[in-house]
Amino acid sequence: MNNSEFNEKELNEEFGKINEKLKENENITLPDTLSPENIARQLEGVPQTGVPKEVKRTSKRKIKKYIISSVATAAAFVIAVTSVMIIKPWEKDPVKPVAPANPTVNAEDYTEIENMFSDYSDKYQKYLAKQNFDDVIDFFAGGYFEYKGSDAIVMEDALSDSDSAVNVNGSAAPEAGSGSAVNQTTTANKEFGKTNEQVEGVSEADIIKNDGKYLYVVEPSNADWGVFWENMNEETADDLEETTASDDAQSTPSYNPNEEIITDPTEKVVLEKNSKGLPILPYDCAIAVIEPDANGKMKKVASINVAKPQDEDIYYMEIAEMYVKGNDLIIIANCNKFDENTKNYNRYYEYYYGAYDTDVIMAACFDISNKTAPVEKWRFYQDGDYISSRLIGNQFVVLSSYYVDITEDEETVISNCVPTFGYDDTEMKRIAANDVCVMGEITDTSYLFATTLDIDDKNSVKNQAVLGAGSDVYCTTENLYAVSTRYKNEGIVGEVFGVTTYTTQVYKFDIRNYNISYLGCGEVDGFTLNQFSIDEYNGYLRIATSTGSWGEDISNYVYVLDKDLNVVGKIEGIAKGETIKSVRFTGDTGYVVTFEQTDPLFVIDLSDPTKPEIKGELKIPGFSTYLHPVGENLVLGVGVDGDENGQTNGLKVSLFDVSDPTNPKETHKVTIPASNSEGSYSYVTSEAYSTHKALCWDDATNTMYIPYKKGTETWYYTSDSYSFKNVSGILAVKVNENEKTLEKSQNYTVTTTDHTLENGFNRATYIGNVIFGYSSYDCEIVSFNKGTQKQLDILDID
Amino acid sequence: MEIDNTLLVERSKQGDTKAFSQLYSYYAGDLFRFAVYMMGNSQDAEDAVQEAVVSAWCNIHNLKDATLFKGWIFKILSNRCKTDLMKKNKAPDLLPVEEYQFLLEGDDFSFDSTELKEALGSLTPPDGQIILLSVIGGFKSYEIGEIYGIPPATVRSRQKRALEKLKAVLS
Repeated sequence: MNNSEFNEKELNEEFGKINEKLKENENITLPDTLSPENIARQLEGVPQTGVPKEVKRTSKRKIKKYIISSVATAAAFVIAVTSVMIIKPWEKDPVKPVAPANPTVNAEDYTEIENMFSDYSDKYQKYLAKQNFDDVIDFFAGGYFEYKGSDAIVMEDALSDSDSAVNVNGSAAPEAGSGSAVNQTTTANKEFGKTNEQVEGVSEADIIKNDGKYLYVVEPSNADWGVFWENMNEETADDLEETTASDDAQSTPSYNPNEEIITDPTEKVVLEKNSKGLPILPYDCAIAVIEPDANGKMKKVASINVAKPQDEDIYYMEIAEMYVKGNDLIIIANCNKFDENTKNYNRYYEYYYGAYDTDVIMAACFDISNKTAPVEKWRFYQDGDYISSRLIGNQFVVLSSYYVDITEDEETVISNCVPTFGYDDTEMKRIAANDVCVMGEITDTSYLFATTLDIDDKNSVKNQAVLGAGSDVYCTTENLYAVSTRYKNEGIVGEVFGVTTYTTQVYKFDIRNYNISYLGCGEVDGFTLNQFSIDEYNGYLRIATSTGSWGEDISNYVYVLDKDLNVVGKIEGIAKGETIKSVRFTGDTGYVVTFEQTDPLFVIDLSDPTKPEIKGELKIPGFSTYLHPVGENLVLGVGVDGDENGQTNGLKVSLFDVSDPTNPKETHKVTIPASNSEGSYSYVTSEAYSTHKALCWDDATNTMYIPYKKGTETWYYTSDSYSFKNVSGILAVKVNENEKTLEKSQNYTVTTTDHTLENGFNRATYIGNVIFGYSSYDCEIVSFNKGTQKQLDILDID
Repeated sequence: MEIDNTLLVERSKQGDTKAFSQLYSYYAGDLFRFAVYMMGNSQDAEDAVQEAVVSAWCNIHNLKDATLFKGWIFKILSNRCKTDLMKKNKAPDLLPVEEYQFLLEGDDFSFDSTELKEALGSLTPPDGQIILLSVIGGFKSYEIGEIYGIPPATVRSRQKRALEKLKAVLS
């Protein structure tokens, strides 16, 4: 054979031979840190760019679920061969048989719940022993959890109560960031930025709050995770080796970060130990109170320290979000507990990123009338990961997701099967048995755990836990809805992924009268995008979902449900092959943006709940990730710019004229393009792509403030160096309602070439004529003059 | 066998880490091997793969055609390796051709055939990277062309040139 005449096939054959040869001569094995399982674990909670999905914290519980769901997938496959049953919830009454909080059950009688979990555990153990799928089919297919409470209240009855609507909320001082705030501490009558909220009168928590005089932000914890895990490693090094050798179900790679990071053993920091011999991590947990003056000069005037939990098993607590309402500061924090998994876990990820799971959440309220001497009014702890919260007048509602790990031994499963609550973390008690609701059909062992109270009355606490997970939360002043998505794969793991069926459960709670009671659950096909996918209007609930896996299989729906969560109307098959990027319902109209190559904006008429219909459609490049109605006729879209080929490029703000629903138009747009040139690569990203709270809307002037980051990397092959440049910016876009144009776009920017502000701003707010950009990742606040766009000050929060 | 990644890519775009790790698992071994040859040792390779995978996860929305996933993730890794080498002043493009070669020393390699080692080591950039992609990644010339943004014909001629060198040693 003449070597120069190789064709493609021959080339590949030759290379294949060389590859075999190489394999014989190398000792390369994939390290544990790079195993697919560990990669999946490391990616949990890592945000994707351009994905409108709220970033969730990494959770050990999710990892455990991963193990279960693999089994579930396998089980689902078995079902697929024997009999394929496709559930079409809209074809029948979607309301599940339900046992809402049952007043006839003794509050102390946990027997039924315990028995149920005991059976659950049994099934699992049998499955383990036999390695036989048959036993788990029922178990994971959901048939197992047939709850037969003797006096279960029928769903219909529970729901019909909601007719006697009494609105008791909204009597007290308005919360900072919602409504026209007038309160004792705020003498300023300047306009100021409020948290961008979905429902009027229902406040949402955030990482920054502004009351017109002060800015409140979470201080960095300064926890040294490297030192902590290093001390943990030392403590548990022996355990770790043992488990690594014996434990095959939950792989615990023995990666030791010390080797890489700590080079000089003399520099080793030895932490104090608690009574169980585990290291005590020093960290801060505080809210910084920042007072800017009229010239934008900022000063940290106080630091509101949050006392750490008493329980020495809780090694870390971090404030997730907060509210400021008049003189009350309410915080919600995630707490991390030591347990067997903490000790055995592969620490590669946490070494860099901190704590990895949440076991308990803490909520507390401080009287901050004197900023330098705050008084803690109350605090409570409840099991689970933080999902979301709301503040409606004086009523505070917080939701967590509590996972019961049925892979533990039976005794542990039973002792963990009811979520606990306590004013003191050392004395947490099970919530009353009659506050636990179990559905007729359950495939999940997570509880959606809700607590509500009047913030002025510590003793007004009401709990409610429903078996079934939750992710997105939508709340009006009367009802709270939490949705959770389940998906089921039918196919062999690792080879073919067949049909993926998505269903969304909608849990409804009545939250009137400072009370909370579970009303029931409905089900629709598909999965929701975020809280804006859900909306209640005139007693009807509207939900937009996507379903399917790929290609033409992907489809989108809009459902209308009545107050009993029966589907009364629906539109199917919207934009086949495309996925929903944003949704907004306002009154009788719904707007849905989908994207594949271009962005269709659909205008949906919902005036007849039983016959929703698409009125009009507009196709433009790029897509909006957030829609904000402005007046009757306009919708502002914030999102990603793109070209006709579906390539995305930069930030785009579009103004849509929807006065004629049959013919929506993009009347104007403002973009911040990513500019690529030879040897240099730039990108534009914004947290507004994933959370509406990043945005700040000034209603008085119709201006939207959008934080973004533009990063530019210059690569080495065209210059002798590699360099990067970050522009942290706030784009201000003003909507002219009469002209239907966007006008006077201001751009407030700081350019850095070092690591200050390397993550860019992720929040924007303002007080009077001073605009603030906040980066929670870099702990920096920058102030700008509204008119001149000049930078006034930069404050490092620490 | 070609694997259809479409569904897994779609699910990854929905934020499904399990789907993504499934996708990654098909190529994990080869990605790591590629990185070891590029970086010369498994420690640096581990970092490079780690970073490349996180980067791929974060940017998967930029991947429009799911069938190109493999080439796309190798491209990210290849760029990552080059950036890392550059930071160590060992980038192939920065060094004179005669000074650069794949470092096939250390515990990761146990060549009993010194000829193969020398032949591989003698492949000067950019041929070396193209050959690594051909050998380890099993990519075809047009796929490598897409990865490096060069015409497939150029890739082919480089492949042939390199293969002639290797064949001489191996035969």
